[in-house]
Amino acid sequence: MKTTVLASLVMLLALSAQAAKTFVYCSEGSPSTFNPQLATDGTTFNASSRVVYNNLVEFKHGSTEIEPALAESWTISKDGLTYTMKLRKGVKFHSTEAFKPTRDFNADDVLFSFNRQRDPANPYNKVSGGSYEYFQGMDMGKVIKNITKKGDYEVVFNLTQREAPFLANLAMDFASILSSEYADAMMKAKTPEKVDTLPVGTGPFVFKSYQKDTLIRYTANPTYWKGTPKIENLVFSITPDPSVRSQKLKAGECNLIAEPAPQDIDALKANSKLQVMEKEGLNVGYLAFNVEKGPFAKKEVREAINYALNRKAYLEAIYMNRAALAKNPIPPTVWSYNQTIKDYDYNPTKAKELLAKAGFPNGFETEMWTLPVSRPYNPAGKKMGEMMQADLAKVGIKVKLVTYDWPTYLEKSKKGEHQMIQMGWTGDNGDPDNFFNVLLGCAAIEAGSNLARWCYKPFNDLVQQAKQTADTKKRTDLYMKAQTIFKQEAPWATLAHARVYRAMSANVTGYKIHPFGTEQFETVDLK
Amino acid sequence: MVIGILKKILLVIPTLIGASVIAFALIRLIPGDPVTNLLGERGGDPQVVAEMRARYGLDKPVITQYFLFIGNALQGDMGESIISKRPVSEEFWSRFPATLELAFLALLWSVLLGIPLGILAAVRRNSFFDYSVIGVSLIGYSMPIFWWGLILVIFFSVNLGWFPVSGRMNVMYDVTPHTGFMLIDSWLSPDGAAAFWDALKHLVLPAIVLGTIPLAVMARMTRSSLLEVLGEDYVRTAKAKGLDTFRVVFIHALRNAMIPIVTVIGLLVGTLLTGAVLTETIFSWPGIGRWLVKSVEARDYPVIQAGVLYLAFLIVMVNLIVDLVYLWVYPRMRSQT
Amino acid sequence: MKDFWYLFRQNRGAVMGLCLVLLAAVIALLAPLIAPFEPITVFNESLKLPPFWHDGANGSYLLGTDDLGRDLLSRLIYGSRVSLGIGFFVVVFNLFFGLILGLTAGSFGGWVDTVIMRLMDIILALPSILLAIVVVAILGPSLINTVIAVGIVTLPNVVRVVRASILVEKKKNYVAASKSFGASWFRIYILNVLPNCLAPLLVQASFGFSDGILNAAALGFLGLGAQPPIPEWGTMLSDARAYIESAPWLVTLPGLCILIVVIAFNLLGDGLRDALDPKVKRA
Repeated sequence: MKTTVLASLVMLLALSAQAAKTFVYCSEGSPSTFNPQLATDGTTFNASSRVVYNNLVEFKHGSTEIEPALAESWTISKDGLTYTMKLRKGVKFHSTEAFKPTRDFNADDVLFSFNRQRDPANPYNKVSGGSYEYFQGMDMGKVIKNITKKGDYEVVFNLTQREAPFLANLAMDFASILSSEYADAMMKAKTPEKVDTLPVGTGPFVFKSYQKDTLIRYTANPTYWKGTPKIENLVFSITPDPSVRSQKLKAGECNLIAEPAPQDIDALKANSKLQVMEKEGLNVGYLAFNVEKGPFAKKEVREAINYALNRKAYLEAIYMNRAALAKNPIPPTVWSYNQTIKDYDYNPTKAKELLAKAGFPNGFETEMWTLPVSRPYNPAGKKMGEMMQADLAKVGIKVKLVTYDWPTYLEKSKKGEHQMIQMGWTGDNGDPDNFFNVLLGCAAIEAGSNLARWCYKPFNDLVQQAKQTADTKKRTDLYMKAQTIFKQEAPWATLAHARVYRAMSANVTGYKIHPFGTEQFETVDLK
Repeated sequence: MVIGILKKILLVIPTLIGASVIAFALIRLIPGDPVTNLLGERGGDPQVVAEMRARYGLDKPVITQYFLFIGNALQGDMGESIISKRPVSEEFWSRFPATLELAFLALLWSVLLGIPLGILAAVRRNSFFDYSVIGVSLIGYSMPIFWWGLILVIFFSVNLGWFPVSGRMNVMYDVTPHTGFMLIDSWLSPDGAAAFWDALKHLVLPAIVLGTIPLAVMARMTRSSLLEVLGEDYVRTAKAKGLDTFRVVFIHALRNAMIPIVTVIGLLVGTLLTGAVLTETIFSWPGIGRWLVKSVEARDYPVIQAGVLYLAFLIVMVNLIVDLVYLWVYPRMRSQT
Repeated sequence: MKDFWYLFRQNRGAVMGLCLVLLAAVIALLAPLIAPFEPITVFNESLKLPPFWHDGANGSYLLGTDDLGRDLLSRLIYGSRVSLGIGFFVVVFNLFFGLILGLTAGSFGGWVDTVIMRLMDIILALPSILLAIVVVAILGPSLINTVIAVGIVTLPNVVRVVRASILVEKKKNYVAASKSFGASWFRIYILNVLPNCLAPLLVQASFGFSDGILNAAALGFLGLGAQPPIPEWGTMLSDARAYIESAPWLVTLPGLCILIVVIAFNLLGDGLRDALDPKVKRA
């Protein structure tokens, strides 16, 4: 009797294993951790924040708009300094081998998640290396004065200054909500680092196992507050080589692949068993002129280079037409994008005139730093540098191409040692401030992200004012004006907004490319 | 003899200390530090950057950093990875079995095939077979293995579809890593034999690629040392006494020919580690070779200094063991040491 | 010398190796005359054309073109310059430092010897490709730095060979005799001993060539060797990985070139060794 029960049980298990819907995502790299608070890279966020966790507020699926999540609703005080969040009731944390929750999500979890990052006295502050690059990078330590709870389901954030992008920041990966109860239990068991390696969240999938550099396994969260996801098993198969990813997709070993190699896209599109999706990315590639160095202090010189570069030609040769020409420092997907701005056309004659006006009738000699790594916003820096070199030679500017390895490139450019430099940016939270202030604000010169080292008061005033204005319409107006000034002063030559690509098998439904490039699987299904 | 052994063991210590100094100093000479790399395009408030440097101990003088590293290492603490924030020892040992499994299989097939080939070639000296072995092993040890790997992938994986393109295991098999050795873990998994076959299929091409140079060296070495021994007096005497070739080769000659062969196996550890870096890159193999190369790119100081020290320890130990095996098995060499 | 040439000629493999090496050297030297195009000229209209034995080939590009439309044959021909150049300079680097260190260690002995040989042991204890990668990371990826990195990791072999042969010579009577006449260190070691050690060095140099070419190509494959558009075979192969299905010849041909040149130098080295001194074994 006993054996037959066991046998039928085994058969049942085998059957259910067969029927289970498994979705395989071939990812590009290994996550560095499973706690998004500790990370800065998209690979880690894909494997943690969007799969295992939720935030108080989140970006709407496939857009940069903000919608309620673990916070059902919120109110902002008139002075813009107090945010009161009403929390969702009945949200359950995952039950895993390491941890069985005894209570629902509440205000303590929110306090823990933020205090770990901002309060050095928090017992978890030093756990797992204890550095919170993104939290500090977004200045949250300075912006948040304190966080208090009013009962179990209300949390109040008091800020030190008015900060319009604050809500968008709360939707970012580092602001994922972790379980305070789990943290306490692990602290008691003297294994606090398990909070970061065996994640427990409220998100659509429950973390099951991770084999380093190989596989990550998740199962659907049966108690997910938005409803159980349609696929039962989610597997990340780590495949760093893009052409191998394409091969695996064709062989049916993956359902979806991250970032196919640009040269493979046409072949993937032509394959009837596959589908390829594309979307404008939240990025910008640019060439910055260091206004502190010689000729680039002159506006005419900067304009002249804008006229001298045949930027359309780069789109085809460098981006293989997988990008849109950029005229503003923000991509069109970000609100407040100014359509009316007139772009510089390719006009070497005009460039020469402007150079003559600036006092360089015979041009001058200078250096250009070319991007040493392949980034979506500029896949081949050196090649683009060679094309720019040829364009600039036509108007008499002799350019020497220089490059360093990536960390050195970053370090030296931060100190402003460059003349012209290729760089780019991928947005963090979809807020225009994340472009204008971070890349072109006066304070960003010292931080090293304003590579034009361009501090122009009329522009900076507009951006700072917009940062402190809560009303989106007013902010839009301010940013529109800022873009006009930017184009007139030309601290950069704006190059391109690269498109993001995903390839998947034909039976995948419900997938959307997120503008930030992060993956979400809660609505995905297999036909 | 005891003194000889002790001397050899003691000599390991300065080598390891030297290796640790070099590993430590060299990575700090690489321009750009891990913090800059982590922050990327973002830059960062100088104060925050200074705090981060302090957290990783990068603000201290290099000499102090070295003694801290060695002090902790002696207590078994190899430091924490800057990227993953996990102890380096844990990161290392969780990846090492993948490399070891691959290297072991590569060495296994190169020994199992290389030594018999070498013996046969030596016995049938100047035959067609001998020339073939010489030729093939010449190609083998001249092989750019990164290219060889790609060729095998094109032919056997892409065109014929016999073997998978990369990785250690099909994702459909859920294998819990008890030991880290896929061939063992797959047996223990619920899918048993099926998973084992899948793991084996994933191992075939990488092991062939990694074993190519060792195979060639092994065949060559066996052949030439056996030929040398066969030319010596006592073998000739044995032959003259009417012992048949088989007995002469296997009982007398091979035993002495094993000395250089054992040495070669010791030397091959270095070759295997170098090959592992390339093989793991081609086959997306989750081992230490690829991991260390990535860590150099990310300037993950603790990982590189500790990882290199582990590997140096491994190489030195294998060579020490080979030396000791000598002393033990071949007493006549004792007087020379 | 006559004996040597006689013995060398007997060895068919060695002669073949020598011929291949000479052929490669001629191609490298005359590259601008032989190659149909410049290695970096881009033909925008002819991307990834196949070699002549495939359908759709274009007769003017005998071995086809690469992803940017550069003539593959020309790149391979110019590539021989790069690879042989790297091999040559690695050998020069090795011989220069190897002789200094090996001669010093072997002739002075004592603590000098201990220090130098310990240092070589340390280099040998570090995984060579990793050491090379770190050296390149310090100096930056370029042709010259590839030579330095490969030269450093292969240095211990040369130092050991030089030292070993010095030690052998040292025991011979002529050294003791010149010492008793009060000959200077320079006279004994540079003028008398060194010329007698040339045979193993020559063998080592030949193998140094093949090791150097292989290691440099491996660095190129990892993206740390010569930088594009320099037509280095390892780098070309690595760049072409993405086209392994659509244009496999971009992967197969550069690799074949590496293989042939390395085989040639190994054959030559084997032949030299057998002819000069049958007892010298490759380390």
